[in-house]
Amino acid sequence: MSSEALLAVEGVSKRFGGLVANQDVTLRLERGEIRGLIGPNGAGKTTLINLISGEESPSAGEVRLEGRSLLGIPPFQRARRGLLRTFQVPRLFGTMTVRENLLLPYLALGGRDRRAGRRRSDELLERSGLARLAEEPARHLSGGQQALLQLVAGFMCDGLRCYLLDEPFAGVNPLIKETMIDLIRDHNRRWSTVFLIVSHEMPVIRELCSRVTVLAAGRVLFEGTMEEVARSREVVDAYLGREWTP
Amino acid sequence: MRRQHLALAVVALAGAAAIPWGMDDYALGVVTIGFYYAVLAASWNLLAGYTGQFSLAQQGFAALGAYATGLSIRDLGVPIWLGILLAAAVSCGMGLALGLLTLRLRAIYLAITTWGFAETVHITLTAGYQVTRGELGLSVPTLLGNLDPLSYYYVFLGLLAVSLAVLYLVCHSRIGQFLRAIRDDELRAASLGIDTTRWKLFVFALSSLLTGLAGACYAHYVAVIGPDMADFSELAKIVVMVVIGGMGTFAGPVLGALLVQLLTSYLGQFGAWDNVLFALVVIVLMRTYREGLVALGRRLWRRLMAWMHPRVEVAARG
Ligand SMILES: Nc1ncnc2c1ncn2[C@@H]1O[C@H](COP(=O)(O)OP(=O)(O)OP(=O)(O)O)[C@@H](O)[C@H]1O
Ligand SMILES: [Mg+2]
Repeated sequence: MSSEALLAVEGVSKRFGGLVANQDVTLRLERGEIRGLIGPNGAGKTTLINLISGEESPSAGEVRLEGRSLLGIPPFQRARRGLLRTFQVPRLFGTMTVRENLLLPYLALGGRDRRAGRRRSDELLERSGLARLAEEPARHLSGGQQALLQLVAGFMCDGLRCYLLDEPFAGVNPLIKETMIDLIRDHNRRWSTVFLIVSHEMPVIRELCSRVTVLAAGRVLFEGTMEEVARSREVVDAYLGREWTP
Repeated sequence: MRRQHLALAVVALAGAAAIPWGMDDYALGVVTIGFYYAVLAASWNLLAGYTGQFSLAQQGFAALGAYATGLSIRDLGVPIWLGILLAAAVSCGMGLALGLLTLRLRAIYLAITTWGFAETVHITLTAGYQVTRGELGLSVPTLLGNLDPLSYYYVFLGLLAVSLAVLYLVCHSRIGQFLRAIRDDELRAASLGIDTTRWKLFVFALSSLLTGLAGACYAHYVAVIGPDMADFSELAKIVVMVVIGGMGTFAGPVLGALLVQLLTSYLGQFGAWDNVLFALVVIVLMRTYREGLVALGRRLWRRLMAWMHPRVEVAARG
């Protein structure tokens, strides 16, 4: 049992009509791991996140969390097992305040003690620099602040085991980006939370992730450390050469 | 905050209980019907305002409740109290069924399907005249065995108070937060662990239950009911009330219902034109001031406070 990865994606495929968005993807994340998921636009990264979080169901293969299959388990139950995600285009509860956006996952995931929830939200508001916006409706935030709030909301969850982040840094200013990186790293150190981070920002991925998986045309093209990825002719040709120099 | 709400509720209830002493029978009747519509408006607001489920079937559930008690009393010989309970159960069950049917439908499709449901109720009540007596109307025994307007005023005031208490508990608990989350972004709500299916069904069931209950009480008040209870114009009235009062606010539907009821009763001489007038008001409000009278009241209140305590305002600005 202990040899089982915390999150295991086993031979997962996803077809949309004739289009193959994911093909035979296998991915195993160990407890405490921060994994990068990179690949060109349309490679199938978001689709893979959707398959893991349950918004889409795979045409073949399966996803397991702590050794238990997630087949047929709806997203809200996956969340209750400690599997959360963010969306590429930030999704928030627009008419609710920033604080309510934080308290909501706390309540939804079984938090009963309102005072404890309040304390945690205070702490996260402080650390994320959103404190002075606490009573603002979320729809009034800037794009970067929304991305930050979306990320931070997941940290309100007590049993967060695995957090899937779909391009969390896109369109985010350097200051907020630093805050996000700190929060992710801190949560990972403290609770051994697994992160799977989709990003085009190689410096950030290099800073955060011990290993990266490269997806291209729906398949896993490569998996290894950032250095190995940079050395791989295949990957550089397929993708990185244009945007990134090691 | 909570204490303020409680104080406000006590004052409102005491006021409403005391008001009839200066009213004639016609006015009593107007406000009694206003209370009836307030229950309908508040129930619809739970669905459309708090949860974002823009259902167009509320009038159908009121009619279901009315006919459920009327028919079970006439054909099964049940006592009135049991008829009313049956009405609540039937409406609740049908609401649940409609909720299930429309679970995966969004916005416009949900609106069309629920409208279709209410129209089906309307047509069935009209066409099934062997059972329902159709347009001739179904006679229903009065609740109190008399027609004393004052008694019915208090019955409907009680019904409204109980309905609002239930809705308040729901909307101001964690459930209320879940409903708002579903309204704002259902996908996000589910991804954070909210069982969106369960809460949407709950809201359909509760809103239909309260509406069916009100419909049943209405039947035992007016004594003769017709299929026009399920007419689309009834829903239009409810929507107008909620929008004018403030959609998604707690007090809005009640204020809107009473105001519209008073206006339509006393400005009746405009005939069909008041509908046009209200439609225009709704269009303007939806485009400009979606939180209706309640938001207006809040704004005025804040102005008043600022005017009375100028220092506080300065401090807040600084
Ligand atoms: N619901 C869908 N129906 C049909 N095709 C889809 C659907 N979702 C994704 N696709 C297609 O699947 C492929 C992979 O899309 P996906 O969004 O997973 O890529 P991505 O790697 O996240 O890209 P990006 O970097 O632009 O976010 C694309 O060709 C896309 O058009
Ligand atoms: Mg994507």
